[in-house]
This record gives sequence, C-alpha cells and structure tokens, in this order.
Amino acid sequence: MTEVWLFIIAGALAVAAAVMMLLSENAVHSALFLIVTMVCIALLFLMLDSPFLAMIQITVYAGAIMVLFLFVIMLLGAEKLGTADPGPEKSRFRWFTPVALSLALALLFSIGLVTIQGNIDAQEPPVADPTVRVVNVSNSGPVDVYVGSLLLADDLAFGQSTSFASVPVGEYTVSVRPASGGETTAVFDAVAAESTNIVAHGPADEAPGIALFLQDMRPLANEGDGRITIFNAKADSTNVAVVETDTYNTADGSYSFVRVQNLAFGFTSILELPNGDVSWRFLNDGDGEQIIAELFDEELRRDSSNLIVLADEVLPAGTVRTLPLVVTAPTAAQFGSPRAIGYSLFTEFLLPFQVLGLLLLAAMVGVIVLTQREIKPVKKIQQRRKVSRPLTSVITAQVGQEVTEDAPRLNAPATAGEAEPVK
Amino acid sequence: MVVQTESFVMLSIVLFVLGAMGVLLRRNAIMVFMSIELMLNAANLALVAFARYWGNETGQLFVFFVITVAAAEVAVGLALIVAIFRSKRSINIDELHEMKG
Amino acid sequence: MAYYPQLVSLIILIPAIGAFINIFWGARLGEKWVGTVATVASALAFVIAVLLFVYLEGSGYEAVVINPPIFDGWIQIPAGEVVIPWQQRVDTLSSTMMLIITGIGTLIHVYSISYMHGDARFHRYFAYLNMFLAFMLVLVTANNFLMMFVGWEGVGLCSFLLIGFWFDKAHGVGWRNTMAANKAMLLNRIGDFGVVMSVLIMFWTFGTTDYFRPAEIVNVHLAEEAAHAAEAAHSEEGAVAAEGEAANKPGDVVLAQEGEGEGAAAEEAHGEEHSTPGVVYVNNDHIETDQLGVFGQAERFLDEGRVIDIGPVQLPFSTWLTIMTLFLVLGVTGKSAQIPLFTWLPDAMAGPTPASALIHAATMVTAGVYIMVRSNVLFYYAPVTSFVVAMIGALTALVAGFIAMGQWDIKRVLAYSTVSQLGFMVAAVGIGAYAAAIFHLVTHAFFKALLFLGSGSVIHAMEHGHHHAHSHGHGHDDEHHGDDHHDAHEEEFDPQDMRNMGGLRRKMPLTFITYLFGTLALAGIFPFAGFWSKDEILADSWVAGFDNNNLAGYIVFIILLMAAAFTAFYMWRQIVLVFFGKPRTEAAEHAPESSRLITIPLVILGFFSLGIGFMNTPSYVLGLDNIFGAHLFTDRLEYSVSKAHASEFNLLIALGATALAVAAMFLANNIYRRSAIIEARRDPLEMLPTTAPFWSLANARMYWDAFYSRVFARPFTRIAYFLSDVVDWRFLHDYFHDVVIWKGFNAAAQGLSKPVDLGVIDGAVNGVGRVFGWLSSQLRQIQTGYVRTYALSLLVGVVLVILVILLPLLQRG
Repeated sequence: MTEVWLFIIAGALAVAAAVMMLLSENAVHSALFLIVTMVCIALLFLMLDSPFLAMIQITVYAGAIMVLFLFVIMLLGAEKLGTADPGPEKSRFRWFTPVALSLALALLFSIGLVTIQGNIDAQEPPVADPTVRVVNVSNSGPVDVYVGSLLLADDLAFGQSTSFASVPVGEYTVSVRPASGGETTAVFDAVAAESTNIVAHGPADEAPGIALFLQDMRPLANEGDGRITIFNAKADSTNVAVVETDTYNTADGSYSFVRVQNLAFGFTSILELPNGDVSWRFLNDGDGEQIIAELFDEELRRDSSNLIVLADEVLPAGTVRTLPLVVTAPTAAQFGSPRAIGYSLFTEFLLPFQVLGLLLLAAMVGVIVLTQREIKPVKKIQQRRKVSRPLTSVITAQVGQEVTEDAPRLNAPATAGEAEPVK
Repeated sequence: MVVQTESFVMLSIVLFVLGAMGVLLRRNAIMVFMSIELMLNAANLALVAFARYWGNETGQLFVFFVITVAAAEVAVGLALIVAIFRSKRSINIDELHEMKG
Repeated sequence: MAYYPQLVSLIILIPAIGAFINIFWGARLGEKWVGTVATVASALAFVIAVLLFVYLEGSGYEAVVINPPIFDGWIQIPAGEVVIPWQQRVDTLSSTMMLIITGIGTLIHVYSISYMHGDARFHRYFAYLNMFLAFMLVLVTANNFLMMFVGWEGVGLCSFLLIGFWFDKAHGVGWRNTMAANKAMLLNRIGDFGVVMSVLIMFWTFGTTDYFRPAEIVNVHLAEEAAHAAEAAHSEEGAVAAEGEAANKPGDVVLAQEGEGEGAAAEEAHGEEHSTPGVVYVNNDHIETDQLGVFGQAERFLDEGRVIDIGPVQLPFSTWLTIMTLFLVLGVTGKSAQIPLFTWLPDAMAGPTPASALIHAATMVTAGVYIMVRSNVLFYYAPVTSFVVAMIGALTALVAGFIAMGQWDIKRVLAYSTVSQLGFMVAAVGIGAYAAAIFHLVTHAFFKALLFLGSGSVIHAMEHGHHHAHSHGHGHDDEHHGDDHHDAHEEEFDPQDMRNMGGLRRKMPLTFITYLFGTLALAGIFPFAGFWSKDEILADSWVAGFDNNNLAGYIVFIILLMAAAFTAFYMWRQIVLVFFGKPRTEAAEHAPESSRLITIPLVILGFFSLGIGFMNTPSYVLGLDNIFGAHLFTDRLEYSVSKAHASEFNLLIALGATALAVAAMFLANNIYRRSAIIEARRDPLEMLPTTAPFWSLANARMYWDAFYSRVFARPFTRIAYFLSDVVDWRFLHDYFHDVVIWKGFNAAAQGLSKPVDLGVIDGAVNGVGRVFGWLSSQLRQIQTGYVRTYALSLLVGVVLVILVILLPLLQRG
C-alpha cells in the first residue's frame, strides 16, 4: 500500500505543481513549479521500474533544461512579460479561453473515458517466446537439427553450439539427423519465456541420443554474478564430482571444497558464483579420485549463464577423453536498468542514436546562428592622402625663397566622401 | 504491480491537458515553452508506464530519445526567443503575428 | 604495278585537299606557301597521271575500273534498285585527259604564281584552280554519266568563279566581269539542261548510267583480233589446238590459256557471268544485256530493234538514241562553246589570263568534245545527230574564225580562235573522226595554252610598261618592278588592245618565239602539232565525204578548209600587230620581258607545241613513222574509243591546207605591215571599200551578242521587270499583301479580339481568377498570425482524430 500512497502523493503533487505553474504570474515561479512536477514524474519513473530514466529526468530535465529556462528568463528579464497589459488584443481573444478550456476538457474526457473503458490492466501482458539452442557432443559426425520444421542447426560439428533461437509456444518434435544417416527424435514442449538446451550426445558408432534440459537465462539475483549449469553427457554413465583445484589437500589427496557431487549421466547442476575465474577438476566419483577433466582459470563472465557439458570425445587415435565444453550466453538484464537501456541503444537503436547525435549537432549550430549578433563590416575610413613635398621644402629652406611655381590644379572636394551630389 | 498502469495513464493525461492549457492560454512565450515541456513529460510518463506494462524496454528508449530531443528543442527554442526578444523587445506571442495572411 | 590504278582516287583527292587548305588557311599562309601548296598538289596529280599512263602502257591498255573506298555506295536507292556507284575509270582516253589536265595545269600553276603576284585574293585564286583540277578530274575519270555530271557542274562553277574573279575592279570593269561570269553560268545552264535530259533518258532506257561495266570489253574488235593472233601463235608453237567447237561458234569465242583443256574450259565458261581465271573473254556475249553498260546495251538494243517506252511515249530505240544524243549535243554546245551557245566564251576572257588558258582554252571547254568521244558508240549509231554535230562544229569553226579576224583585243582573238578550234573538234566528232578529235584536243590544249599564256605575258608586260612609263616618266631603265597592281591603273588604258602594242619582238624575245611557235602550230604549219591534228580532221572529212559519200563530209571539209585559212590569217595578223612594227604606245615601248616563272612554262609548252604532233604521225610520211611510229595515239585510243580509226594521210590535202595557210599568212603580213593605218587605230580592211562591210561584221561579232540581247535578254528583262514591278510589287505586295491580307487580317483580328477574346475568353479566365481571389481573401482570414489560434486548431484536430479513432473502439470494447 505504500506504493499506492506514494503514487497518490507524487501524482497529486505533480498536478498541483503543474496547476501552480500555469497560474503563477511570475515566470520564475512557473519554472520552479515545473521543476517540482518533473521531480515528481521522476519519482513515478522509479515506481515504474525505470531507475535510469528517473535519473536522467532529474539531471537533464529538472537540472539542465530548467536551468537553461531560468537563465533565459533572467537574461531577458521576462518574469512578468506577457502577463500584464493584454491591451487591445484582449477583446479579440475573449472567445478563446472558453473554447480552449472546453476543448481541453473534451480531450481529457475522451482519452480518460477510453483509458477507463479500455481496462488496460485486464489485458494479458505478452510474454516472451520460448528459446532453444543446440549443443552437439555426439561423436557420430556433424548433425542437422530440426525443431518441428525449423532447421535449427545445419551441419553442426562436434563441440559446436548454436545461439538461442526463439520459437512459438507449442509442442515440437526435435529431430537430430547425422550426416551419416539415420534420425533420432524426441518430443519437446516449448514453454513461454523458457530457454531449452538440446544436447546431442553419444559414441561414434551409435545414433546420437538427445538430452533436453532447461537453462536458466533470467536475470541473476545479484548483478555481476555468473550462473553455471553443469550437464553430464558422458556416455559411460560415470558419476562426476566437481571440485575446486585450489583446495587440493596434498596430505590425503582429497579436496576440501567439493562443488558438485555424484552428478549422474543426464543430470544437471546449477551454481551461481560471483564474477571471477574458476579452476575446477572433474573427478570420477565412482572410481576413487581419478581426474577425468580439468578447467584452469576459466573466466566466469558476469551476468552470463554458462553451460558446461561433460562429454566423451573420440580422438583420431581412437582414445577417448572427457571434454568439459563451456558455452556462454548473457542472461537477460534487469528491466529498466542502465545496462538494459545501454544494451538496446548499442544494438537495436544504434542508428537512431546516431541520428540523434546529428540532430544535437544541428541544434548547436542552429543556436549559434540564431543568437549571433550581426557583424557589420568595418567601414574603411576614407582619408585624403597626404602628399608632402619634402624636397621642395628643403630647397626652399636652403635657398630662402619659394622655388616652385604653383601649378594649376583641380579643386579637390572639401572633404572626402562628401562630394556634392550630381544634379 | 500495486499501482495500475491505468492510474499512470490518467495522471499523464491530466498533466498533458494542463500543459495544453498552458500553451493555449499563456501569452508569455517562455511560459508557452515550459507548458510544452510539461506536455512532453506527460507523454513520457505514459510511455514509461506502458513500457513497464508490456515488459518492453523500447518505450523507455523512446523516452530517452524524447528527453534528448527536448534538450535540443529547448536550446533552439530559447535561442529563437532570445533572437525575437532582441528585435522586438517583447516575447508576448500575441504581438507576434507577422504571419498573418 | 597492279595497285597503280588505285591511285586514281588520289588524283581527285590531292587537288581537293590543296583547295581546302588554301581556301581556309590560304589567307594566313602567305603567297609563297599558297603557291607552293597549290602547285605541289597539281604536280602530285600529274605524277599520278604519269604513273597511270605507265601502268596502262604496261598492261596492254586494258581499262580498269576503280571503286574508291569512301564513296562506295554513292547513290543507292534500294527500293528502286538504283545503284549508281562512284566508280573511276582508268583507260587510254581518261589517261590522256588526265595527263593534259594535270600537266598543263601544273605549268599554269607555276605561271600563275608570278602572274597573280600581289593580287588581294591570291589564295582564293589558287584554291579555285585546285578545285577546278579536282572537278575536271572527276569529270574525266568518271565511269558513269552522273558522276561525269558532277565534275561537269563543278568545273562550271569554278569557271564562273574565275571569270568573275575580279568582280570588284574599278571603272565598271568589275561589273563587266560579273556580267561575263553570269553569262557563262546562264548559257551553261541551258546546256546542262540538255545533259540532264540526256542522262535521264539514258537512265530510263538502260537502267544504268555506267559507260562500261568493269567486266566488259570495250573494243570487241580489238580483243578478237588479239585473241586470234594469240591463238595463231599458239598453234605455231606446236601445241595441240583444239578443233575449237567453242572457238568456231560465233558468240562463244573464248580462249583458254595454256595448260588447260580448251574444250572443258569453254564448257565451263559458257553461261557464266564472271570471268573464270584461265579463260579470256574476247567479247561481251556472256554478259546479260542488263548487266552491260550504256554503250554495250545500246548496241544490243540496236541489234534487237527494241522499242522503248518512256512514260506514254513509245518509240524505237534508234529514235530515243537520236533524242538523247541531241540533248547531249545541247550540253556540248554550252560547255564547248558551240553555236548557238558560244557567246559566253569570248566574254569569259574577263578572268585572269592563266585561268583562261587552263579552263577556257585547254581543258574545260574540251569537256564537251571529251564526252562526245566517250559516247562515240551512241553518236556512231545516230546519223542524224552526227550530221547536226558536224554542221554545228563546222559552222562554229567558220563563224568564230571570221569574227576573230575583226577583233582588237588580243585575248578575244584567242577566245574566238578557241571557239573555232573547238568547232574543228566537234565537226570531227560529227564525221566520225573520234581519234582525230581527241588528237586535235590534245595538240590544241598545248598550243592554245601556250598562246594564252603568251598573251598573258604580253598583257603583263604591257601593264608593267604602262605603270613604268607613268610612274617614272621617260628615260627609265628597264628595271623590273615586282609589285604591280592589276587594278591600280586609273587611266583608260587597255593593255589587251593590240593597237596599243607593236614591236614587242625585241622587248620580249622569249615570249615572241614561243608565241610564234603557238601561232604556227595553230595555223597548221608543218611540222608543228596543229599541222598533224588539223590535217587528220581534214583527211577524215575528205574520206567521209568523197570516199564514203557522206554529205556532212563534203560540207565539213570545205568549211574547215576555209576556217583553217581564217585561222592562219587572224593569227598572223595578231603576230604582226603585237610583235612586229614599232611600239605604238609608251607602254609597249617599256614593256619588259616577263619573269622566269612565266617564261619557263612558255618554253615547255612551246616545245610541246612543236613536238606533240609526232605522237600520232600517219603512215608513210617522209619516213617519220619509222622514227615515231604510225598513229600510235589512235591505236592507243582505240582501246577505249571503240569506233575510233586511224585515217590515211593524204598528201594533197596536207599540201593544199598548208599552202592555204601560208597564203593567208602572207596576205595578213602584207595587209598589216602598213602600220600607219593601225596607228590611227583603224584596221586596213576597214578602209577598203570591198572588205569594209565584212570587217565591220566581224568586228561586231556578226551581231550575234546583239541578236541574243535583242531577242532573248531584253524581252526577258522586260518580262522580268513586268513580273517584279507590276505583278510582284504592285499587285502582290501593294495590293494583295497590304490590302487583302494585311487589312483583312486586321479586320478579322479586330472582330475576334474584342468580343471573343476580351469578352468570352478573358472574361472566363478573369472570372475564375476573381472567384479564387475572393475565396482566398476569405480563407486568409484564417491565417491570423497569432500562435495561439494555430495551437487551438491543432488541438481541435487532435480532439477530432482521437474521437474518430477511439470512439469506435469504445463501442466495440
């Protein structure tokens, strides 16, 4: 109920501030009321699982933009402008206010009516499609994998895996067809929002077997953690134990930290670990402490769901070894988190983001052009050229009398640029 | 989901209409502009509400874009107002009717 | 060797390029380069002509037809199956013409460099000369009548341009020159009408205008003879001669070359159109009639007695032949200056003298004779036309010779002499002496060019002398002044008037000697060129008249004999007036010898005037045929002129004609040595009561021009004046245009403009405009300029849209 009260308070405050903004005569007051409204809206954003937008709302909107507004208002001294002295225009728009009010009310009521009548919350929100991927650890060569009629994997070799592909909800027949011929099928029920692994396994001379199990791709409880799903697909049906390499006790040859014990063929074990590297040993649980495989400093990626498939690989020499196949996929991000939004921005919305950048650039240029004061070219100062006659003056000084005759000359205009207009 | 999406939408409509009233009735260009911002915020609120409702982040991304564009718009709009004020010594929109046909 | 004939396209192209260069860049090149370019172009053409001549000598005089690459399909009308190729023919006749045109042309180019020195339009003169060469070579190398006509018109154009070359001379001289050019153009148009008609009838009749097709054999007679000779030689060599079914069958005469079975070859060749390698055809019987040229078809048609329809007219082929040849003769009278169209040629001497020498004496005017000889087959089978031609030629020779005796202008005498000599050639064609006509054409080209160039040298010297006398007064040295100006003399001094000359023998000895050579050649004195050619024509007419009982032969013989006497008389009169006696004016007193560029061509031409006759020496004359061979020229010509024949030398005629000529010269000498009368600017004959009427008749050019001007020119002018002044100007312009059209149009326009245009159309348009103006004035009130009203309308729109979109949803939900 606190949430409801919070909504009521924040919503009421927002509306009240908006009304005050409209009514206040002083533009500065209006701007301050608008800031209140915006902060309230930011609170509502938080309630709506959008922490990132809430922060942006406060910093960019309530902060930067409103500061700009206030700055311009103060710059122009426009606090009271446009409020007083409606002047002769007033009579002209006498009809305007009622019309505007009634229209606004009509808008309010029509949309409000639709919203209430439409009963939005009664409608089922959609759910995500089921997803499915294939991991091939079958030694019978490359396989084609069909889910229903969809070719999920084409010519998938040993040790390869596909990424998750979404399929509509429903029941499917999974069909694994090795290149060597033959077909193995299994029935698979695709449930909404669930991710399923299809693992084809088996020795070289047999048709591949199919193992189906879910992979938990939901967001992790602690962001930054990693999730590990270990699946035992060893054909010789040995149970497997997983131990931390670092905890090997040399004295008695035992491991002090055992992660998983007695993992039988066809079973999974799910671990959630903090981000970091792991060094694990896989032991044959039935046959003493025999190490059948080892992971050394394997990176555990954050916010990822890792799958480790333990499978037998037939080497060209004919020997068989156990391979811990690691397949990593990022888990879904927390809804509305900066990571989720950033991920979308850098994948799906990269082009709009760049266009936005261009728009901002254009806006900058526009602002500069709009507010630039016109620069008037500096007028050349017209000046009569002064001509001196140093030589004659020197001679005159030495001779003691005027040596030059006055040559007839044209009357120069009194001052430059003020020549008499031609009539 | 304690608070219904509907409530957010209603709130957003109220805010939007208030903003529209501001645009229509105020004569100060800056006030008109701020009312526009209010309308944008109302729309943002609806977008975010629906985004959560549908579990789809696209709505939030749109809000992000709207905020960015609004920033650009505010910059340009205020520049226009400054320019108009410089030439007319007024930002009363009723005095600006050079576009009369 | 085999590629030599291909050069014949260059022989046209090179002078054309020369003309092109000179016309566009000549003004910038300067005299030296202009002259060089033109002369080199001409000389290159001459070299090509010599190469072609050598080629023909080496290939047994067989004609070659060349398709120059660029003009391949000259006129092609596929719908009408008309294909007239741009083909050039290299045979003995065209080769002869090419040699004369380019050879004499080159000499005249050299001469002109000096003669035209200082002229304002020097480069244009040389461009015209080169252009003339190109067109003349088109004319003579053509293989069809249409291409020939291109050259025919082209040389006519060049002639016009060169006659009127000094159209801007002062004192009305330029006007006279212009009129002379117009006269030449107009009279030639009349002749060209004949040529066009002739070619059209020819094309209609034969479906082609080609002389001969490339595969055709021109002179079947010669080819058969050669074949038989070869066969005989073949038999003598001992080879097994086939008993020749093929050879004995007339019409299938084929001869296989050694190494092939003759019978088989004959069988193969029979019926094939194209000559198979190894088989030599000696006649055209294997070719379809419509694959033959004009002349081949004509002979076939005559054999068949074919009847030809041209439009609604249906006449036997022989009649059409007469008509087409008569039309051709009309063209010839125009181009070769025969009665009745000869009056343009004396006036044509208004042009620069070297151009006169080349165009109006040596080459262009002989084009008519050339084309008649080229069509000798047609004329041979058209006796009526031949008679007309003989009469025209003989009369022209006599009349022009007569008029020449009464002229004072040195060039005019030569011009009438040219007309007269052309009459000799035409008459020779008329009596069937085609080889003699061409022979006279060749010799005449040399000595008449020589005489013209000599007269040009004299005129040049007279102008110099005049200029010298008047600029330096008396007692000057005979220093040569290079910069004379042809149109700088303002006095009414005529440097061409023989009365102003006299005694130039000592002033210009080289000119005198060469001029004497030309005169003797023209007068027909042994052993000069004219003697041989003129004698051949006379002998042929004698044979035609007295041996073959051809009426034309008698007439022509007698008339030509008289004309020959006239020729000797007026030429010696000229020699005496110009070169003997004492100088009658200061100009003659100070006339200098011409420069070397002028005298060298004179000497060369003088040499040829003396020697060129020996190329066609008749048999049994003083054993000359042992040195020079007997009628080589005629034999050579027979390969392209199938009806040509060599004439027998008749000692009596030769002696008689020479005696007559010598007598006439003595007579002239006796009469004109009395220079006292001439110094009074009168002619001795004019003073004698018995000869006075004749002399004045000759001096008045037999009133021929006056007659033409009375009968044709003046009525024509009157009619033209009437048409232009009354019909065109007063009626059409003043009345019809101004009153009917102009005022009627105005009235109609007035009627239309006020009520219709202003009232209805403008009213409607303006009304629409006003309506929209009112509407917009109402609408613009919406545009208040107040932001809040705009915002309000936005809000109204929003509310409306929301109502429209959401209300239906409400009802549904």
